[in-house]
Amino acid sequence: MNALALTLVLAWRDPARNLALMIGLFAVLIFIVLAPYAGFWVTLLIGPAFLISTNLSVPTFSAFERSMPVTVPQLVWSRVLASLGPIWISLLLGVLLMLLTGQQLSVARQPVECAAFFTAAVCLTTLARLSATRMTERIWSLLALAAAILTLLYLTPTAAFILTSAVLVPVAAKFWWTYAPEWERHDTRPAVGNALRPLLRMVWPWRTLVIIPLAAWLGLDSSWSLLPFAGLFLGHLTVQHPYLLGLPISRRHILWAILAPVIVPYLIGSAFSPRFQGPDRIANFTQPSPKSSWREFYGNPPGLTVPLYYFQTYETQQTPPRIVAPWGESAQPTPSTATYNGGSYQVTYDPYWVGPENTDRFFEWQFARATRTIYGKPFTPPQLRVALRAGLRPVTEQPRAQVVRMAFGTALLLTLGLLSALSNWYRLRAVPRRLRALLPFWLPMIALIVAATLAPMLLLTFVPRLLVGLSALLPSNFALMTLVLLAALVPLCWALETVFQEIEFSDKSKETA
Amino acid sequence: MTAILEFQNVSRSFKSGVPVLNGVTFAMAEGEVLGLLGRNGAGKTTLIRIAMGMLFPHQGGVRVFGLSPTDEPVAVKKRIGYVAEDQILPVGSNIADLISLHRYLFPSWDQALERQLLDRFRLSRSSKIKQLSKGQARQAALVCAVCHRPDLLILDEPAGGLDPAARREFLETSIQLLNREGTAILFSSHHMTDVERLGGRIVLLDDGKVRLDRQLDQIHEDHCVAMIPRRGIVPAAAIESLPGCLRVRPVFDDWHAVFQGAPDAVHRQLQQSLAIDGIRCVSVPLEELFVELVGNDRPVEVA
Repeated sequence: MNALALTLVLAWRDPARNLALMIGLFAVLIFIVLAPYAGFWVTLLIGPAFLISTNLSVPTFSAFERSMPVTVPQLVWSRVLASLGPIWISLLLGVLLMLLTGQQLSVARQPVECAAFFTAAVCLTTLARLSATRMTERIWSLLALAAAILTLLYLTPTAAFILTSAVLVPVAAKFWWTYAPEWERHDTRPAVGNALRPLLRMVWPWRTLVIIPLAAWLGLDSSWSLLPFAGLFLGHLTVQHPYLLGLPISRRHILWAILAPVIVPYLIGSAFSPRFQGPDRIANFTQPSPKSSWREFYGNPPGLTVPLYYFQTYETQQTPPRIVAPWGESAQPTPSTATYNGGSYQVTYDPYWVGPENTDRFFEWQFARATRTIYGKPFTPPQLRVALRAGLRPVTEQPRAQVVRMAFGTALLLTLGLLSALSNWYRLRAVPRRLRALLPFWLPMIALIVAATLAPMLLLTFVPRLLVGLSALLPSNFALMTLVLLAALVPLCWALETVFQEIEFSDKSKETA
Repeated sequence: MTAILEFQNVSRSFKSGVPVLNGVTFAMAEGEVLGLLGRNGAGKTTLIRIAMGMLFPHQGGVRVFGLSPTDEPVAVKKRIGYVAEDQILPVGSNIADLISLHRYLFPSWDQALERQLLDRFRLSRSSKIKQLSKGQARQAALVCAVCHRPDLLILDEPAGGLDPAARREFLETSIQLLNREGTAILFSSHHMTDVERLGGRIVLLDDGKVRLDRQLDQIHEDHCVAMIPRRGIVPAAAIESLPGCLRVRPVFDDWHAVFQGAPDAVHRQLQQSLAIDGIRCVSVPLEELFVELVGNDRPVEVA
């Protein structure tokens, strides 16, 4: 067997290929289904971040590998090939599929960027792990992280702060973990102090430090279609250190300790999300209407951009339905096309449309309807201007909606946690293990992709609409509403705790050894 | 007898239709020392993990101190000291951190015993876990498992990775010291010398079942191996059907059969039942007995 064939054989049996294959296949699905939307970028961001953290936490080569009659370069190339081969092949197939389905060659730009980032991530982290000295290891690690930060800045400059922190926080923490000064130890000290240290190390692997900023970012972004990615973070829910399992610590404590680094940053991110974005952000669509009557009489009233999730969809081949006022006056809305990155997606129309031919009465009627929907009560343009100056915010950004959103997001995260726990629930032993392993990540992702294929606009607008509707149904008293939402989460927590009591953990030491 | 650990008809499999444990039943009394023997893959670790509540039995039940280890894991583990077969301590901390954790979790922690064992094993509190050798990490895990003076000590291959001196010291001093004070000990081991040193009772697992459950002294006195010439054309089934026969396997030109009973009595019984010449019956050490009971049952032939 020549050297190349041997390297390929080694690459084929390298465990790194499983993760690479998963990310590659996932990237292809995203290209095919979600390419026009922002969701695609997540592949570029979360995938490599996860890859880097995994890559850095796996030992270079096992004693078994090093005992084989092969050279070190062959081992290195086999690892690089195992990590990159499936990704490159998957991306290539994805691009070919897109070209075959009639898309232009320019669609290949994103996959090439993605593949370049993966390649840099794998090569730099592999070099870091192969370093002969601690110093060179640190240099390569820093270069890997610098490359990751620069790439993230290039990809999404507007989110630079959040994305950079996603990399910098783990780096800082890694250095702290390594170089933190030893604590003073005297027998008289409270026992719990240093006891926490090994406990935290067991419950929170250092990958958690990548997870924390990413979970905060998901909260800040508040894009519901991205939330299933949290399934990736909860993968370690059922993998625990056997040493921990031998200790008299209740599973309930273990469960919430594992969930906390995902749920708490998510909630903090969600609490601050209105400060980072408004409804304008997602109303990114072309709208040829001049709405001349508004401008003629009132100028361009601020704050009345109708968010995309209030838009209505209709069949592509037809025209939007006419909007008819109670007194019979009507308007024919112009089709608007939701677009992203130059690719057209789905036709929609603004249900609060006013044409140039419409009367002031019709305009005021539509304005009142739109402001009731967006701000919770009807306004005239001058009233709205005053209210906005006084600090009025859309219903979706008011504390009430924010609490509903946070409760809903928490419920989704708990559901993902439940799916993760179900994958190792001993009562499901009749279901093949490989099938159960799909539950935590692939089941939500497949559901997301199917929804994106069959009803893309529904996917984007369903949750905001649901939350607005839910908010209207809940008690008007803020405290009572919060209590109702907390009570609604209790059954989910109970189900999660019940299943978690009966899961059989995988052995973390075996996974990382 | 008050049972502190009780397995009732426990079955467990990891692959459908391939049981690792198949109806295992035995109980352990307070203060008893029980050695769990068996070949690799016999289910020793699985059984221990079921007792710890880490795995769930697919059939049957287990009670530890009268409690279910899966329903009340904290109450059960408070009274148990446990060292896993492949115990890997949490890296990134040192021995002092680890001891702090155990002292916090176990209010009955004995600091005098802790100091005594650390000195005996020459372990420094400031040693980082990741810098410990395999044997030292094992010793640190053992210190953590015994210093709260548990009612039940569960050790999965307790002496694996220890050098002979450390192993003997650990077994003879630490473990026996605890046992004298009433701690029950369940341990699994492949080292027959360790098993003989600890004494007590032996439970041998084979094919998912309990093949042998006797006091060590009884095993020495009441078991022998009979070597029966195969040229006598005696089928294995005929030997297995004899009273007291535990197992038969072919070895070169003989059948090797393990019988319960003294060698002379078994020899007489075989002479009468099989009516062939050349039968020999001998008492064998525990290791030999183990090999005969769980060794390969395919014919061993000269090439």
